[in-house]
Amino acid sequence: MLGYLFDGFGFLFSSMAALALLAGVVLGIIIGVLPGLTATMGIALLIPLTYYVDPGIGLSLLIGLFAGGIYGGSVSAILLKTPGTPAAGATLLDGYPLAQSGHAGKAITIATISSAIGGLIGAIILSFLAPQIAKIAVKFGPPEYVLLGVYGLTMISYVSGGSLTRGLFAGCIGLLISTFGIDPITSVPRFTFGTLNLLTGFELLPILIGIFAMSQAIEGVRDVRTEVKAQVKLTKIGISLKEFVRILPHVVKSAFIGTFVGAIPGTGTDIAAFLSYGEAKRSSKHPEEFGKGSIEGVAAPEAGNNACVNGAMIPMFTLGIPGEAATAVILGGLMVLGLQPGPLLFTEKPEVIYTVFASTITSNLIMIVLGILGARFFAKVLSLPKSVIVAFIFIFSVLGAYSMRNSMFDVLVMAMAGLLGFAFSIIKYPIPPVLLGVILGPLVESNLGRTLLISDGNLTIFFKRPISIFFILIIVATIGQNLYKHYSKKQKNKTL
Amino acid sequence: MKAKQKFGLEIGINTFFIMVVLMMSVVSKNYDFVQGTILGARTFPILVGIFLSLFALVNIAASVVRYRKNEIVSDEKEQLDSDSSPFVRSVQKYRVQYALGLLVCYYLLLLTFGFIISTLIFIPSILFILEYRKPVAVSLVTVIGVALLYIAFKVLLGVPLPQGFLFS
Repeated sequence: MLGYLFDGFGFLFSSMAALALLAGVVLGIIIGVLPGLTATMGIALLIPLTYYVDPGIGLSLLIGLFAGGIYGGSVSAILLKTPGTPAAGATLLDGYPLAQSGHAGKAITIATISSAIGGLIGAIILSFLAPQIAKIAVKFGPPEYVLLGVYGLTMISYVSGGSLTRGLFAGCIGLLISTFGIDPITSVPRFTFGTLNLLTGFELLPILIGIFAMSQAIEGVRDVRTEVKAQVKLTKIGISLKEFVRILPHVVKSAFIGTFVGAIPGTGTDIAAFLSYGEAKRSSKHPEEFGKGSIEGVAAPEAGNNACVNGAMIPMFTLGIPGEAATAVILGGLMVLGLQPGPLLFTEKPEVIYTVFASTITSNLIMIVLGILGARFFAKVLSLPKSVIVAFIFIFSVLGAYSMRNSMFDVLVMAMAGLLGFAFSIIKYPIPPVLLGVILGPLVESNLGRTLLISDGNLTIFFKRPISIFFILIIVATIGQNLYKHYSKKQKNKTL
Repeated sequence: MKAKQKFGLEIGINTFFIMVVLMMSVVSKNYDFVQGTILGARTFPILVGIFLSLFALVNIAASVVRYRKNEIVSDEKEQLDSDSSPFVRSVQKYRVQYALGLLVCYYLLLLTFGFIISTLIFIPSILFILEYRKPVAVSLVTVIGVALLYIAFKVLLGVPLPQGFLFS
């Protein structure tokens, strides 16, 4: 395995992949810095570009953007008191007070160092743990894949926000979208209405760009007047050795918390950040400083959320299950590049997967250099006019949707998906479940068909295989836990 | 957006997808099953459709309850610039609708004239809607933006751009 990892580094530095990674981190930080723009949206917009290059290069770009995007959110959290991404929500609790007291440069340095160390630890865990999980997952047959898909769909309950039925409704829309095109069992062209455009179903990319980028651009039009300006000035960058020693234990601990949280599908970088913050406050020698500009309060959430980025890739690469929106989009990107995420990726395309691992490790090293040397530049990004950014998101969305098949039909699909995403944002329906449904629909349907053909329609096949039984147990546990959570939340609301 | 409009939108979206399910079940009625099984091209869509309709009905019911309890809140009204012309005020008031209309025009322009001409028209128009109206800056953003996009996509990456039927 180490040999493959070295090969991954070899490919990374002997090709354009290193440059793509650097570009990804820079773009990611810029996107993350700007409030209202998310790493998810950035990844969705860049996937079309990766289609024209080697998968290793394309994925390096996306990995860099993901890591940079999560880190970039901390800059606006510190300087504007507005987290650029939800993951930076915990960072502003101490980052902004620290900046207000004249230490904005120190706060950004701590955020940078902590993000990089946290991400690095997460990336190393990912590189060593993922292949071991893939070895188990390679034994899966059709029944296990059905249950894996169903387990993935239970993640809808986690990404649904307030209402479970809204999330399930959105997930069903995604599943329904996935049924267009040729049926995997009978090869009947389904719901094609005689048009060749629908013979292979709806392409994933236009839907992805529509619901994550186009909808955000339309929201940008609505909220164009809500631009925020920097409240504090960036001061001297850097921290003392004593301060570094003080934050280091919290950074390491948060990195493990973040990776573990990320590896659980349905969680996210924001949860990892707040859990890390809470743990740092609990174990700090100076808990009274938290909320008033504690350096540990900046370090812990930043290490946690960047480690979480890598943790979230463990189920995505090994099982093909996206845990949250950004990994769902990267998963979509893998599929667009013709790679089927899951255990077979480790045996069929080890060069790609280990290049990705090498990229995750390297992106954190790039981030530390860029974050410190480029802090002043990234702070200036905050003064970019929002109107111009929104205008170009529209154009990138159109070009991205068009570029895969050179089809204006795909542009139309993207626009429709964008409208759906915007409408959902108005009525507060969650949008990530739609993508989960689109991605997991074919996996569940085709394997369910195969399973029932193998077993002559006998459903007991699911209870005769140990891995299937394991999945049934965790599905039941997940559903049970969610029902309990929703029930207790309702009870709590009633008593208030 | 007013609470009543949000309520209408929520009911509309849920009803629309119930209609889609009904339409799909009608369209798929002639799809064959694998002999002796319930497996066929319509099995999975119908199964999903049933669940979708159930969730949509629950959502509609929940929305009616929330509306009656006044739990759906209106968005804050944006202040319009009183010293601008009626057209500018109308753009301000219906900014999203104007932008959506402009997107439809952009799509039609792309079909007709291709990427370069359409985008040269689209960028200043959308910037006007987005209240970015400095003539020199808008001109620079438009020309440099289109040039950079053309170079990045067409020249460097070899990605084809929409040509439009007039030039294809």
